[in-house]
Amino acid sequence: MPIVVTLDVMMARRKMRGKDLAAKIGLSETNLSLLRSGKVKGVRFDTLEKLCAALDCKPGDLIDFDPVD
Amino acid sequence: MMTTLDDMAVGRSGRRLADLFGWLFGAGAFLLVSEVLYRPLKVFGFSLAGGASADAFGSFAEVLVGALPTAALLGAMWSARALFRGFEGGDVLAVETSRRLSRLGDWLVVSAVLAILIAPTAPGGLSIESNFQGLLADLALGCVGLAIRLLGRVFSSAAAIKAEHDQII
Repeated sequence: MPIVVTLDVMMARRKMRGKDLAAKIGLSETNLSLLRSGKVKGVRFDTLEKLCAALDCKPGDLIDFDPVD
Repeated sequence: MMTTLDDMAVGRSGRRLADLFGWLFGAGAFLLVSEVLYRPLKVFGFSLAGGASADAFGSFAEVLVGALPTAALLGAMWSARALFRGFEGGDVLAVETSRRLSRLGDWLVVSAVLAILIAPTAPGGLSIESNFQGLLADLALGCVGLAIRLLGRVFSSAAAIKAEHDQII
């Protein structure tokens, strides 16, 4: 899929662990792990909002478009 | 997956209905054996011992065939029990639920078809009027079975949509 989840990069920049982020935004670690690996069909706007608030970033920092994939 | 209060309520209702259908199945099976099959089976046994096996087998087979629609209804009750037992966990929109629902519809259709095919030859000499009423009841049962089968297909689609929805985080 050409949509690439770059949440890992943002988490590394903010030096935030998955466990902490999951607790902060109220998401299970399993779901966060699925999201990080891109094994999901979609992301809800409210999840995106929470992620952006927790990582102090914009939605574009979390997902990217790569037409080659 | 999180279990909500609604899921728990569905689970409790499912358990109660599963118990009810379990009891109905047990009572139905007991009545089928005691009221319909026991005496012919006994006669068949004595006839076999007496040597008249061909006639005895024929009349016993006739009773057995006559009991097939009821046996199919018992199968429907068992399927309903399995269906509601599956609701206990609160996971209603599942592939297994749609399969069980379709199976319940199948049993009802089978029972109706068997009743329509077998009823005219059943012993007892039914009047035309009561035969017609029975036919109507069997047709209605068959239609309900077909409707439940369709519902099973709808459940199957709903389960697929839910599975996709669960992948949206």
